[in-house]
Amino acid sequence: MRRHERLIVAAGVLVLLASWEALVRLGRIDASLLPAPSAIAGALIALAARPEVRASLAVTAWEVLAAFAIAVPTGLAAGFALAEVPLLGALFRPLVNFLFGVPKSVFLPVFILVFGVSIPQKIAFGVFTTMFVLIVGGIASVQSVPRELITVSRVYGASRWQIVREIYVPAMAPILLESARLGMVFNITAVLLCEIYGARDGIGYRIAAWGENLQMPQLYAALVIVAVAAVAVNEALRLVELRLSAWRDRP
Amino acid sequence: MTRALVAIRAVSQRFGSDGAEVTALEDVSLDVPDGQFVALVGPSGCGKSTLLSLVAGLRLPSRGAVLCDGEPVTAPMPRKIGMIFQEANLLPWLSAIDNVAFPLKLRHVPKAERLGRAARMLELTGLAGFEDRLPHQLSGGMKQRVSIARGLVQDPAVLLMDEPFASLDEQTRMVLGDELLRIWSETRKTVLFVTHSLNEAVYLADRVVVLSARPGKVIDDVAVDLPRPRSFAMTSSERFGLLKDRIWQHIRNAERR
Repeated sequence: MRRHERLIVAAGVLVLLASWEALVRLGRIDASLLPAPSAIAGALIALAARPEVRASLAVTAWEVLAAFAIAVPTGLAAGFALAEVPLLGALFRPLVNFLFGVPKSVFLPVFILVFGVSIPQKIAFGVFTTMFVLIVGGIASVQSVPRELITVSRVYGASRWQIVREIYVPAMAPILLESARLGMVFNITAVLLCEIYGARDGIGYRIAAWGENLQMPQLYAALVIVAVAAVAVNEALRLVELRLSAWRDRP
Repeated sequence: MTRALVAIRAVSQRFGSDGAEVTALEDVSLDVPDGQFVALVGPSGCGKSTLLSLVAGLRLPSRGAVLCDGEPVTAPMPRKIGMIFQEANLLPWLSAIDNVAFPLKLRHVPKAERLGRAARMLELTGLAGFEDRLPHQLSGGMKQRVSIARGLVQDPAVLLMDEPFASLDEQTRMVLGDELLRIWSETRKTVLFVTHSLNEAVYLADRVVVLSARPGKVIDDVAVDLPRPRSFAMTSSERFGLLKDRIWQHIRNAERR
């Protein structure tokens, strides 16, 4: 974006916030449904200062990262296997496609039965949800490797390992990173959903409690925190992706 | 007599298994002396690309053998044989110079040396100044020049070209044809050049080998006795027309069958 465009966007956001604030103060918006931005900001500052809220955020962050660390390698390995081994692909790809389209929350009770209401349960559900994105991404990334480049490498005497390193890895990197980023979005949503559904700690657990008690400023403040964290992770992964895929022909 | 640098000895190639077996090449023999420019033509599906991939060591013939410099070809021989395809097939994440240096990288040639050699090849193919461009920043003709530079960078004795200009527009094709002849006269590689274009075949080659369709057999071997260097004016000469005509008769007969 150019500088004057940024200015226009910033001004627009300010105008939006100011009119929202004004509408609440004038009584046109019910503050018990949608509190004023100033009230949300106040709640945000108060929440950030409370140690038990910070602890809850840490619990959620740990669950999200653990689930991601497990789901990425296993999901990709499964995706590669389905793409490279025709028999496995024929057997499991219909199942993957079926489960990919189903809302995973249907399976939440199963996870509670197996793991109880616990941190491992949140991690397991996060892994389950995220893995599908990475399986599908893993399959797509293998299929994105141009066969001709493998032929070229063979003509020039590449070993099998050199073909993996020089052709497969760089050709697959953009799609792999993109599916990791998409997986992270699903992962965060899944862990939060899990915590809202039933938990003893975590920011989702707090959101559920504030919601039940109709503590709207706290609820919206928590949403801001979650949104900012999610956007930060998303943007960080996107920057890496852009750097690694500069060679792609973009308009 | 100059010895055959590439010798194709009674080669047959079958694809598929019993029932649906297709014979792509049958009993093809061809001796190519060192430094000769040979064009391979024939109706579509005559197995000329298959023949090239056998010489490249990308597959083994069902019967017969291919020898390069007296050695049987059983696997790719990157130091003796360079190959250029219809599409440039550049690695899209590597700059022009890194693409040219790629075969050297596979052989663990030190970086400074391989970049120096790649830069000289880009100069030879008329791309000095474009070293750092990525493939998507180059035109079709320039990409094919990079691909030719990559084929030459290990100084192989043999250059295999599989319809290298087929996806370029006619003007670019003619310019690159002249460039190829200039490079060939400077380096004196042995060239096996597969093409659909009779003009291209007669204009570039010392010798045009005509293959028939299914199964591919050598049906004619035409010596092109036009003087070198070739010029555009020759393409309208009587001799050029006669040579082209002779090849065309074979192709037409083969397509009719």
